[in-house]
Amino acid sequence: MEIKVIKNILERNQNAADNIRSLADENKWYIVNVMGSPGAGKTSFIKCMIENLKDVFNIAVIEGDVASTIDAQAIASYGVKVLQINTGGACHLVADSVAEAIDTLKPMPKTVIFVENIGNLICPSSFDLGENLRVVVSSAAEGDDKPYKYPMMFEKADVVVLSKIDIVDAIGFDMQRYKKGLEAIKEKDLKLFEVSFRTKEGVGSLINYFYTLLDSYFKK
Amino acid sequence: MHEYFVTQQLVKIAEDELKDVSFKRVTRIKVVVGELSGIIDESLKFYFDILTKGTILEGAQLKIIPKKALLYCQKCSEYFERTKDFTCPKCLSLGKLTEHGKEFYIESIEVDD
Ligand SMILES: [Zn+2]
Repeated sequence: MEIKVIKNILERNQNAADNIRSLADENKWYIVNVMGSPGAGKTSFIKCMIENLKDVFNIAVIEGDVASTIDAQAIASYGVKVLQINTGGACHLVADSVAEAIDTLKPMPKTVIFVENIGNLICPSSFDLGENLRVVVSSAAEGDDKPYKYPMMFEKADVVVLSKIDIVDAIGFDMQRYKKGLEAIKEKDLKLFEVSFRTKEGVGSLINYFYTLLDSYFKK
Repeated sequence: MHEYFVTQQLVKIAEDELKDVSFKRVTRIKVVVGELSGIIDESLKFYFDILTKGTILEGAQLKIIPKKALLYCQKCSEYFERTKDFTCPKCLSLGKLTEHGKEFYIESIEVDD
């Protein structure tokens, strides 16, 4: 006997994510899921957001890490609430562990919660964490072929931050090829920011974007 | 890389589906895996054998049905298989990703009754 199932295997995670989303809605939290390869600049992005927005908005950070607490310590030094999730080897965060982290952190209403996902371009893209916004930090150092190789990661991103653009010329990064790949994946509203967190090039417009986005969200 | 987690989910779903079914043993589970789903077949099989030990699924065969990623060319109104840079092999314009290749679901469970 054959029993027809046709059931999505990620359904359980989806339910947990939907729960987070309704909690966030009640409390007016704004959750940002930050994804990207190891070393792409996820932590630099979050630090930049904290430095420039912490006087205006409440900020909390959930740090996903395979084992270390290095990033969490660096972020705690800014005086914002931070909680470390050690996945013990897993390659992505799941909604259940984010829900637990939020429960422990107890962010006050109207808080921006940055969730730093585990560094990799495949696994995190399949797991909804109940976020309001998905950011992919992708560094020029990784090469211009990333959208073609990992289309799912970019397809689900709301914002792509291309970091380390100060080395574009030195390594022969083909910006046109990179953008063409993104265009193929993102039919509409591709938001691409080209920045260098080292030289601060392009960082201003990234900060402006987030300021405007958060300001209008919290005013609603 | 996240096959451990998803295999756990897979086992849970199958157990759930079989709750109200009477059968002797589970012979086969068919799972559809798209090329873009990020799931590695070998890892899925590896964890499946480990995680089904002692469950009603022990000894069942995991049958993976692979699905190719297809891009869509608006100019030619045709689907085509993923090329290195997403360009349509016919007209060289840029194709768009489609739902083909993202599949990841249990299609069916086969049991001996
Ligand atoms: Zn064509």
